[in-house]
Amino acid sequence: MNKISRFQFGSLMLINDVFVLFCLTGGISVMTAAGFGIGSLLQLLIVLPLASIYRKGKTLKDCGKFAELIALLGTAVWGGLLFSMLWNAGELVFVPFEGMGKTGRLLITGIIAVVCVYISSSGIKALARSAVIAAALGLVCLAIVVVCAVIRSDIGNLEAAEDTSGLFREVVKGFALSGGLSGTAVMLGFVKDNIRAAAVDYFVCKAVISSIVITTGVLVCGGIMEITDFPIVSAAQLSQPFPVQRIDSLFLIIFTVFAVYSIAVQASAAEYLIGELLPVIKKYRCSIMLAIMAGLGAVFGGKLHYGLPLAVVFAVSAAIIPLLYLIKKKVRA
Amino acid sequence: MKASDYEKKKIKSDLKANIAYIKEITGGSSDVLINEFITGGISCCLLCCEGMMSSQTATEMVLSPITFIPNQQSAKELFTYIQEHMLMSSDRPTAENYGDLMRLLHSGFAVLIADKMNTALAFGVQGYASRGVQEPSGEGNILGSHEGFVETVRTNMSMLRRRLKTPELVMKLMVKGSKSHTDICLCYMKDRVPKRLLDRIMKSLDEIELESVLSTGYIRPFTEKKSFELFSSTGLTERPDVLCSKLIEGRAAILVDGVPYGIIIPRLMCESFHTLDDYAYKPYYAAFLRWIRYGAFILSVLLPAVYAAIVMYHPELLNSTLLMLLAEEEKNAPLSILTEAFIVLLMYEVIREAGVRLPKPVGGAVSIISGLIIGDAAVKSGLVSTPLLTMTALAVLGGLVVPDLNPQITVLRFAFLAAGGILGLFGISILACAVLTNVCGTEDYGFPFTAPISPFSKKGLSDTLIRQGFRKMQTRDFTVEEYHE
Repeated sequence: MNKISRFQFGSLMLINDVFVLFCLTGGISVMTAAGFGIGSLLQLLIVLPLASIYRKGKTLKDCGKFAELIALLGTAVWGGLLFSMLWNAGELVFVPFEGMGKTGRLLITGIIAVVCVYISSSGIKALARSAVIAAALGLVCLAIVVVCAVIRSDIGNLEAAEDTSGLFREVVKGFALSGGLSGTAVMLGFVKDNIRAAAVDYFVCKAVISSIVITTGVLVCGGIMEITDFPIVSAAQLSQPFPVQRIDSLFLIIFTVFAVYSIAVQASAAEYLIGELLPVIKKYRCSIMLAIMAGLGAVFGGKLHYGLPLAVVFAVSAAIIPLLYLIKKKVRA
Repeated sequence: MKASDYEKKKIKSDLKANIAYIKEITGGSSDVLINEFITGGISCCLLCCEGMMSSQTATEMVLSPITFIPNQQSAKELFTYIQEHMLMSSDRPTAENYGDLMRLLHSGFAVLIADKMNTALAFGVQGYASRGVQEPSGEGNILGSHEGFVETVRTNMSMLRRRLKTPELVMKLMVKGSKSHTDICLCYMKDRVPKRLLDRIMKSLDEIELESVLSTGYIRPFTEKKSFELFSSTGLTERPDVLCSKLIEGRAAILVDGVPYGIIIPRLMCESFHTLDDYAYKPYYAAFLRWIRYGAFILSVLLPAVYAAIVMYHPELLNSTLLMLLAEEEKNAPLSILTEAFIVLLMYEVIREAGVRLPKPVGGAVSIISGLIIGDAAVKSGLVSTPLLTMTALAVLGGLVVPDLNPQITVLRFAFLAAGGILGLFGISILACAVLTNVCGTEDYGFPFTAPISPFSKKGLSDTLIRQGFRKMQTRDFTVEEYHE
């Protein structure tokens, strides 16, 4: 099995999470930032048992076929949701096909899918190495956008975007939007050393970055939250560092790169799982999985579900894996 | 006669039959000289290949002393006498079959055969005309040596030995190409090179079953992965000092006879941005130059594409003054920016190719005609806008800063231009993802091409992003094995 370092693992996963933040719709508040932070730490608690299993030299295979199947389903559903998010946000961000409506968005999604097939088929090592560079460049660009946003922010917006839904709902929302948990569970198995540290580092970074980005979004867009479809994208658009030119396109680059890698990571994880479950399929595993994900994306129809059911589905899909391992171990004993 | 017919055939003991057979093998080729004579009372024949040996050396070291041999009882005794009493040359192999005999003969050895003797004695008197050691044409250097490799592999080997006078430097000669019998030399430092790397290179070389090896391009595909890689994971250098520095870092090198370049295995991407002068300048200036090269590379690949994308789809990225200026220039141009950029870049490639292939005096004229007359005329007639011409010229100049990557830069520049011109920054980003993955996936013999950036190696960065001083570098004890995954 190809192994990756903990930094590569962190980069792969963080790209996915930041992309989700870009596609965040609806109102956000400081409570959302707290919800995402707490949600990330809860996810860490779910993943830690799995990290302990991997540390013993076990793999997902040792947890049984059913565990692999659950992980595959979770990854496929999350991949579908990513396509759905891309479909939603594509309208807002991409310029050349602005006037083409659905055809343009279909073209964008298709191009991204094709590139994802190429990236995923290049292997986990190539994906992980390139993801580190993409994440580093992306985070630098994101930092520029955040700094510009902070300069243009208004502290009064924090109050303007007051939350009425409560912390529990925001935690659930944060949890549900990190459906990459199944993919995380798979990718964690590729980490070559310090697996537990890799998990801890990743989830802590995720909590911090999510909180910073969301809070910045609130600081900029708090006053107009009700008329804002994509608060983070809007925050970037409203935060221009120069008076006579705009840097929206910088954001477009990060968005595209992160979209490609987010989907490619899920496709790679799914490709690995389908290889384990159905070794008969030797070719086009990645293409098949991406087609399934795109199909699921079409089923979701651009409507995202931030609610409890989705959060529970993703939590269970990750938590059940160590549980199945324990059951299998006991049965053997 | 086919090579397989005589290759393994034992040398005949009858001199007349032997000579007749050699004539048959060579097809009566005019450059094979057959000199029959009697020495020590035995009928002998000295075979030489005209133009491949030094006539003066052959006369002084072989022909002259060999005629003063006292009478011998038999040909065997004659050969023993020559071998034990006469040190005619330091390189004195023997041949037992016609395959070896012909190889030695065609390599410039003087080959002695005698009546009633089924072996041949060869004397190394090579002395063919070859180019003298000159300054490398492609790897300019200000403060370092001005010696470059030449076409003769043995001269190149001596250039390495002169710089690394240590028994750890091993140079193994082998022959490749069933027709060309090209000498290939595998060089490495036996205390530095990873054994796995050496074994795998040997295995790769064993796969070569070519009829001829006429350039490094014949060997390199065998030392690289079969899958599509944009960048090559083996490097080329025409500088013996550069090759020595790579050998000290634990890499292996292949020298090919007839080619003034050495193949370096493995090569990392960051090394394309290093020059030998970096180690002669102060570290801060060397680091500055490296960053200039990194910038030039990115500029060279992306500038025309980004220009087209911004002007066509993302004008908000420009400040209003610049936007007005560009709009004013572009509105007079009859073609779209993308078409214009393609035409200008294609024109440059045509001119460059013409300049490279034509004789040097004519090449200069081509540059003047193309650069001054066509360029000026194109702008004045309004066919091409001045800003676009400036951008493409800057991009082309940037590419010349990193000549090692010029083929990749050229292709990527066109690809990115197409992506940027059709899809804007979205297209550039998408293509960048694919290219980045391809570059990061380039890995041969377990050495990632993008090391030490990704996978990250803190130790490696001290000679990548910056250039540490030698006081620190001497304690670094670096070998390429540290990048192995």
